[in-house]
Amino acid sequence: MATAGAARYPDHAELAKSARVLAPPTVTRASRPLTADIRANRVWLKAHRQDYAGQWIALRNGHLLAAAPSFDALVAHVDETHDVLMTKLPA
Amino acid sequence: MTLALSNGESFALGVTGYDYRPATSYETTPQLVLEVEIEGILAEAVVDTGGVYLFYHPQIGRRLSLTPTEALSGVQTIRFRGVLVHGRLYRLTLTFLADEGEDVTIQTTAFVPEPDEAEHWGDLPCLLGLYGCLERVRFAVDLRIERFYFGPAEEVS
Repeated sequence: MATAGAARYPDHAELAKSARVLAPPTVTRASRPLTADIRANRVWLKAHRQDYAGQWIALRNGHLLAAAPSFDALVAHVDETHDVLMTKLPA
Repeated sequence: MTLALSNGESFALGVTGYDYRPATSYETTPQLVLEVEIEGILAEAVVDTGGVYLFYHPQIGRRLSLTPTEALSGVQTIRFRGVLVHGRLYRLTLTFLADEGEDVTIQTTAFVPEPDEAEHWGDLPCLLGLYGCLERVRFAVDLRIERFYFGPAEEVS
């Protein structure tokens, strides 16, 4: 419906935005290789999930960078978040 | 590695492992939890075949520096797991990360809860809904070896 509205009223900015945001998903090959070692992160999580239950943790390539009780506290301990997985482990 | 259809076409472009566990501490049914990249930020996400859109974590969402002008106008209210959640709808980039094969990028509709929803969000990761997010992704799961295969549902360049 959003797409049809945008086609009928091409100068309507809000309809154009609706058509863009609500468009069916598009799937493509990723344009760049990711450098993060997600397999190492997964190994770490399987081994240590219970040790840090209920905490936010930051992982880079299978190495624990920080653990904290809140997201804000975690971010305060992580200088560079590129290729860093930040997640809250279930209690 | 990536499976093949009867015509020789690859079923998927990439494959990754996943964690098979309850998504939160108050649930008991295991779900598929993947590590994905959303707008350049690594996050854990649950494959939610009963859900809609990409649901982003409200606290991690603050790192995206999204502005309301990029969203559909106004705050939207969506009933989510029996609770009304306020947030905004954006177009975001989700990337499935491959252990083997190629990564796949999805431009998807995403619901980003308002920052003040964080206190109610708990330990729920991001969610990848079938409608509006995964609907154009071809995927398969091998539970025995915990592998998740993914690729575009249509041929892409």
